Amino acid sequence: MILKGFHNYLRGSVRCDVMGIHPERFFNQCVKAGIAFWDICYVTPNRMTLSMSARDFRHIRPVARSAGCTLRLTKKRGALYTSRRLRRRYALLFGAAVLAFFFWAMNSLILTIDVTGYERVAPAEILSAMKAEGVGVGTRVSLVDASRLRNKILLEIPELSWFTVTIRGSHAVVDVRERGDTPEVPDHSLPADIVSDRTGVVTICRVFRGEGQVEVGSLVHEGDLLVSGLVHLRLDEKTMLTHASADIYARVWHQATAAVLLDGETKVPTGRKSVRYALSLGKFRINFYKDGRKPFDKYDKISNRYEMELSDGSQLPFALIRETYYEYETFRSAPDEQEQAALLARAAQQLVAGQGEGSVVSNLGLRVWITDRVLYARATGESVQKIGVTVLRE
Amino acid sequence: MAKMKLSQRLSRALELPADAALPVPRLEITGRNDILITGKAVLLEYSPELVRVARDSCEVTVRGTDLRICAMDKMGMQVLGLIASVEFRE
Repeated sequence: MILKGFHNYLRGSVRCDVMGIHPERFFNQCVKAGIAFWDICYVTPNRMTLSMSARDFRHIRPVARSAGCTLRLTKKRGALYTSRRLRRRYALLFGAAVLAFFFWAMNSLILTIDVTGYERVAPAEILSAMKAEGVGVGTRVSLVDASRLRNKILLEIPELSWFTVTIRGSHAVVDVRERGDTPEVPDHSLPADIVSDRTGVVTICRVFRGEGQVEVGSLVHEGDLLVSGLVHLRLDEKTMLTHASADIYARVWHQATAAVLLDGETKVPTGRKSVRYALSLGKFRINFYKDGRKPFDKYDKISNRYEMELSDGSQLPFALIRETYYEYETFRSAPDEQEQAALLARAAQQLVAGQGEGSVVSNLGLRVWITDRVLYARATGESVQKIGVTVLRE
Repeated sequence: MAKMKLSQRLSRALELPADAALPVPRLEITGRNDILITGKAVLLEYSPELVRVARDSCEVTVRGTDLRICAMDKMGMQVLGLIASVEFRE
């Protein structure tokens, strides 16, 4: 019933008064002429009202005449007549066109792209490769050939082993998998030495193959030979080449320095602020402010981006941006030296602790000094590390 | 009359639906408020108390209160209202 009513509204309908000696005759003539009508209301024996489609009403006059009835149009309704009334309302038509374009764009164009599953390959690289193949924000969904795109991208980015594009409405989800690193298998048949890669004092030296060049307690520098692949056979007084292998640990030192300018500036907020709003639509930005210049000479800016998400977590391609500018003034101020020194020392010690590569770093010392109004803090530490790298002999 | 009987017999023998083989209206009554008359029926009289339709020699009279022809076209008509009786006359 609702569908029928909607159909009648779309095609347009009219309400008429039928007057005559026998309105029933008029109804029968209409049926004979193939004209359908509905909602027949009895008013008097000689007067009834009915509804019919606007198209059928154009052919009704001869039928009424032949049935000996007169017809009077009382009401018009439907999209046909409404649209005629709205024909001169240009803003409304423009709004309807914008809405139609919006619906079309939401369903036909890719407006957002999410890349998932990456670890080492940057998503920007993947998006750039897709863009080179003609797929990006603004591309028509119907033009995307996922299979062809996959083949092209996998050839272009060899680090990827898997690539799929799933498009839901205007949102594209790119799922990638990267190839695992193939471990490098050392060729033990080639002669090689072990060379120190840092400075330290050897604490453990276990040589499996080759001829050891250092002992426990030896000081080694970066580049020093630790184990030689050239082995002297003492009994035969000959030499042989081998692929050196050893576990060598050494006490190594770490150092980190932090500095701060003592003639600093202090920011003091003035309390004045300026708020601006903008709408982000894909690549486009619509500013809701006229003056694009910066509101203050010195300011801190905080941007908030409010995005809308669908129930499946995918984001819609538009967002409201709120930018707040807080004005401040600067004054020269001398910071508290002791406080700054403590902060610097803590920062330097944290840097040293981070250089331990997993092993415990013991603090050896801390030095704080001032040169040319610059406060320095240097921390040193010590840890036991495995040293030595294998270098093939030429 | 003899022709009608022959066609009636024939439609029964061939197990054809009567409304398809014979020139009679088909009535579909739903509850007391809805009656659907299909077939090429002619409206003879219409008032809120009475709707009279005919096809060839068969005449159907629907009596009731607040009767209203909801829709009508060459396929038939739908009558809504409180139906009291349906009468047939040859």
